[in-house]
Amino acid sequence: MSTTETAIDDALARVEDPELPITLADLGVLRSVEHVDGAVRVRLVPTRLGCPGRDAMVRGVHEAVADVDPTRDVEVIWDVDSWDASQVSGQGRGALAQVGVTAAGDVTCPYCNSTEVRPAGAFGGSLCTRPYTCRSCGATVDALRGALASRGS
Amino acid sequence: MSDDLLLGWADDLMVHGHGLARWIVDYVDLEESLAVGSISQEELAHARTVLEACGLGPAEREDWVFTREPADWSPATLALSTLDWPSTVGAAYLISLAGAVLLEALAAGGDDATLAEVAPIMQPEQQLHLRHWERWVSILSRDPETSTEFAAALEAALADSADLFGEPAPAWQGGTALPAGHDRATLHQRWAERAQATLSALDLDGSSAPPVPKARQPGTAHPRLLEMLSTMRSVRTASPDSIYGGYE
Repeated sequence: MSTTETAIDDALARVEDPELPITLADLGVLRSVEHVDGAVRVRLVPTRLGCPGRDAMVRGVHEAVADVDPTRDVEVIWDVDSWDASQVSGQGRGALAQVGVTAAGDVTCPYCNSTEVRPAGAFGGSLCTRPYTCRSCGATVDALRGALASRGS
Repeated sequence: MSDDLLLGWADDLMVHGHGLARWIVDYVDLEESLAVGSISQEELAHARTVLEACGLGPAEREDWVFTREPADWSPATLALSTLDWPSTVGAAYLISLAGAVLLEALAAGGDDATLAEVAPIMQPEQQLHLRHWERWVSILSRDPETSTEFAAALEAALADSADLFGEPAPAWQGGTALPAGHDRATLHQRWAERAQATLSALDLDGSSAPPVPKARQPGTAHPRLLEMLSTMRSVRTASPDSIYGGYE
């Protein structure tokens, strides 16, 4: 892999979600980067089909590549694949916890670490999250859908 | 699954999703604003997904929504029913149930691998919508203050549901065969049986669900569709020279 391609990969790994303070890679949205015939092919999977951040994500991908090599052709492919919170990296979970969003399999309150977290509704402020409340400290926590597979998404 | 059945469903999702959006601000309670906002958004996304799976590229999808003549639209009658809350709930429940039945048929496979691949992704998202509307059916039917009115709204919705699996009015080209055992009449019957079972468990009368599907009417037969298209296209009508389209 060339120096430029490595730099592009690094730049793409830093592209962030437009709403949450987490990279697309850590969120499990960025699935692969291929360098083909001088172009870069980026595969993404949305957290939900209706994710309103898709355009912003694609723009971020284009900008990241252009920052390294403005002449490089970019192809973004939205793969038809499932996404759930288990695909969030450990580093990503830490970043989300900082803003009260949990993605762990066993939902833990990011504020007081209690596991007494229960659903508070089926719909939240984002398509990919739903609200929970902590029975210990009373905080409202956003959980990524699929975080509690056993309790339903 | 035949393209005309799917394209008709895309019309339903697009129109119904758009119509639901009014409840974001005219909410019956604040949480419902979030719910219909999410459901509306996802229905529009599902319409796009279905059109894409049917082979429509970006420009064709744009034309499908923003320039296609009203006579070429063919949404189900219920997809236009979002004017009052009881009617909205009744229609949305029946529509989302139809979506669930369709997706099961898609996921069962057939000639089109793309559609079979997309269906499992859409299923949990549609299931979330169906559960939501089932909950509202239960709420409205059990509350003494709303039960009578809701029963009447549901009866009217059932009467309007015959074209959910009906043949669209325009002659759309193409077609991918439905898997064996998944023709329109079978899908309709499956839908009707499930609706009756769910409604019966809530002491509601679902027996008036039409026994067989009937053909859809062209879009020009629905005055409400013309109003909705006018709203959907209002920005582009006002600013025709602006740049539109998603970031591909």
